[in-house]
Amino acid sequence: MKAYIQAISYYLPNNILDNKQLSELHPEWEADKISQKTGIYRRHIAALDEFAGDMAEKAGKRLLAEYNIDPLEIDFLLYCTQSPDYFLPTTACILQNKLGLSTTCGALDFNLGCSGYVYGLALSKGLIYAGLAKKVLLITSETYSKFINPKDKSNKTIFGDASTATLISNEKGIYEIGNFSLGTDGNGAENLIVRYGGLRYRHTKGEDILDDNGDYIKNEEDLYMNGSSIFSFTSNAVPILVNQVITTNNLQKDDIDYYLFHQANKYMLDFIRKKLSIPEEKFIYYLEDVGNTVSNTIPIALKNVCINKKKGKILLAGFGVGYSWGGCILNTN
Amino acid sequence: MDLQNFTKKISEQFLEEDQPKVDSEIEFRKLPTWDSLTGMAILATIQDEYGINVPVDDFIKLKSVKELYNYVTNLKK
Repeated sequence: MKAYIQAISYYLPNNILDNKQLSELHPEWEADKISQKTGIYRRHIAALDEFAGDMAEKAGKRLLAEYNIDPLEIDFLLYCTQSPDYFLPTTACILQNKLGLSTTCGALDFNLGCSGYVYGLALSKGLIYAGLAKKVLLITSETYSKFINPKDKSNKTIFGDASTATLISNEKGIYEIGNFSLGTDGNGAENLIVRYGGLRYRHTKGEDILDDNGDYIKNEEDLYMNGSSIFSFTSNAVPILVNQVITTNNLQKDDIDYYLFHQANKYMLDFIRKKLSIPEEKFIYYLEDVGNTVSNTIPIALKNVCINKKKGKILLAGFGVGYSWGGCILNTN
Repeated sequence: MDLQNFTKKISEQFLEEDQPKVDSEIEFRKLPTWDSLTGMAILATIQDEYGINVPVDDFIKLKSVKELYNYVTNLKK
């Protein structure tokens, strides 16, 4: 019994936020200089009346059309988002209907960010191995832009919106899905958070908190990211994760042909690359045109940089909000 | 750990164009490519290389590599 990735498609909202616009909105922010560091020059931003569920539907439809897949053959839908359309019902149930999937199909949402795609692959493999599904449709969709405060130039620079759809099945496909290493540390919960709006602080109003220079720090209604803590966490956790993935797949470091990490920002990725002594030619980047699209970064990079272009063993690693992390091997052979 | 090696490690967190400018006396935050990401990388490097966790509130007050070095060596004692 094996599980394979058969197909990947994705959707990007039409509206683009580029550096020119960022500089116009924030004249003191040297957007081009920051792009040198972050590696991000453009981000796609969902329209005001466009939501993660809409984008998920588009990515799903694109996949079905691009690969000529009969929607009735899907027997499980996994939907990864931190921007659910409603508290209830499950957005995946709505998507089952919109994508024309069978009513015998299972469907559920799961709430993860940067580690979401890797967890999605793990869950898909588990469903297949348990005999619960033969063809899993894994959709990721994220609209962090809707959580970002207008004054928050840092987060505006980094995050972009996107959605992806992946088909995983027990039939031979593009990538065989290897073994996983997963992890969680809720101690880091406060470092990437939208505090208000959920049940715990459902109607609490936030206010813009500024520093002595009048620069924006946070608003509890909006996305808050403690960059230093995240950088520090990533720098410590990812090398350990990478080694665990290699070990759990009974491999050596030299067996890994490519490394595809969650595309948080180029500078931090490069820092970790050097820490792990990974040569540049083995390390995959894809963020110039899309930015950090959270759970979408890995499948988008696979689609654009890897499929039909790179052969061998790819080590995936997703890490971030939660804190949550996960890694696995994909193999073309 | 000596000041020269420490300064080299700190300079490596800057983009290549600024690396030659980083000496122990310079106010490193004034360099053109300095930003919060550089700061994070410096703190992560100090943790990796020297096992010291410099709190962000203390880090903000240290202006030159030499001041940072003195802080870290004091903590290590």
